[in-house]
Amino acid sequence: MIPLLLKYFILSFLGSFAPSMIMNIEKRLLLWTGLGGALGYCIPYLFGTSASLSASQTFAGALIVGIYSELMAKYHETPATAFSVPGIFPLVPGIAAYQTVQSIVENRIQDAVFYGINTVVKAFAIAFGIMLVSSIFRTVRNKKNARNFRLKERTINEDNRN
Amino acid sequence: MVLEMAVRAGLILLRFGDETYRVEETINRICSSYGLKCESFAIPTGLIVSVYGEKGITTICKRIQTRTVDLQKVARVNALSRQIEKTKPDIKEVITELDNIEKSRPYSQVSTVLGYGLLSFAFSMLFGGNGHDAVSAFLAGAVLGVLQLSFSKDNSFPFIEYFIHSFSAVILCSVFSLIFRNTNVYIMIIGVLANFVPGVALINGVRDLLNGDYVSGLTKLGEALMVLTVLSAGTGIALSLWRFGGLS
Repeated sequence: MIPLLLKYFILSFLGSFAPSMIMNIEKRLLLWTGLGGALGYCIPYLFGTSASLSASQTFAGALIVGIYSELMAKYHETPATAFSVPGIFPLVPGIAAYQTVQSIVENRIQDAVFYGINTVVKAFAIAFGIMLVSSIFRTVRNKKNARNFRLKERTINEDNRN
Repeated sequence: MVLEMAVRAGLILLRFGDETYRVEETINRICSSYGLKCESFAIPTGLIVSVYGEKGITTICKRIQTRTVDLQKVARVNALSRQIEKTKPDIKEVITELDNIEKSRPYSQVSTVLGYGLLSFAFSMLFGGNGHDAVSAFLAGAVLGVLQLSFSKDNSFPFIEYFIHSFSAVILCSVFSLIFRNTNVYIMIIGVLANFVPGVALINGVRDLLNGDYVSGLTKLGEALMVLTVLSAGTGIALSLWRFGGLS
C-alpha cells in the first residue's frame, strides 16, 4: 500500500510539475504546483480500490485542488489559475476518452456510449469541483471587501464630522 | 497615454491566458489609479476600452488574433498592476516594464521539450504502464514538443495544429511500439496526448461563467470542447489508418 502510494505520489507530482513547465509558470512556484497535483490525486486515491479514479473521487480531487490553489494564491500573491490548471492534469479522464475514440473506430457504438458518458461525467466533475470552491472563496472575499468598504466610509464620515 | 498603457497590459493578459473578468478589473484598476474614469469590455477575441477625460471620450478597440499560454506573464502583469495602484510610477517606466514582460522567455526551448517528455512519462506510468512504455512515451513526447515549438513560430490555424499533433502522436507511438519491445501502444498514446489537454480554457471558462461573464465563459468552454473534438478526430483517423494498413 505505502510503496504504491509513494509511486503514485511521485508520478502525480511529475504529472502536474511538467505541465507547469510547458505553461511557463514562475520557477519559484514549480514545486508548489506539483504538490497540489499530487495531493489532489493521492487523497482521493486512498479511499478507492484502483489507480483510475471514479467520478466522485475525481470530484473530491477537484475540490482539493481548488482549495489548495486558492490558499496558495493568497500565500504567494499570484492568480489561482497558476495552481489549479496544472493541478487538474492528473485527474483528467485520459483512459476513458481514449477508449471512447477506440470503440468508435472499431464500430462498437455501445461501448463508445458507455466510455463517452464516463468521460463527460468526469470532466464535469472537475469543472464543478473547481467552480464550487472558487465561488465559495469569492463570496467570502466579497463579503470581506464590502465590510472593509463600509468601515472606510464610516471613518471618512466621522472624519468629516470632526 | 494611460489608456494605451492600460490597453497594452490588458492585451498581454488576454493573449497569454487570463480570465476576462480579471482583464477588465486590471484595466479599471490601472486607469483609476491615474485618476481616470474608464469602462472596459473584454472577450477572448477582443478588447474595447473607453476613457472619459476632460477633452471628451477616447476609445481603443483591439482585436486579438493568436492566443497562447504563458502564465508567468499573466502573474507579472498582475503584480505590476497592484504596484501601480500603490505607488503610481511614471508612465514611461511602466511601459518599459511591460516591454520587458512581453519579451521575457523564462524557459529555454530545451526545458519546454523536456517538459513535454516528462509529462508523457508521468502519465503513461500513472495510467498503468511499465518502464518500457514510459521511456518510449518520453521520447514520443519530446518529439511532439519539438513539433509544437516549430508550429508556434508561424500563426497557423489552431485546429489544424491540434489535429496534426494528435495524428502524429498516434503514428509516433505506434512506430515506437514496433521498435521497442514489451510496450503497450494505447498507454503510450494516452500519456502523450495528455500534453494537449485544454486545461487553461476549461478552468478560465468555468471561472468566467461563475463571474457572470457568459459570453467569454461559454466561448472558452466551447474552445475546450472543440480542441477535444479535434484531438479525438485526429486520434481516431490515425488509429483507423494504422489498422487499415494492417500493422496493429
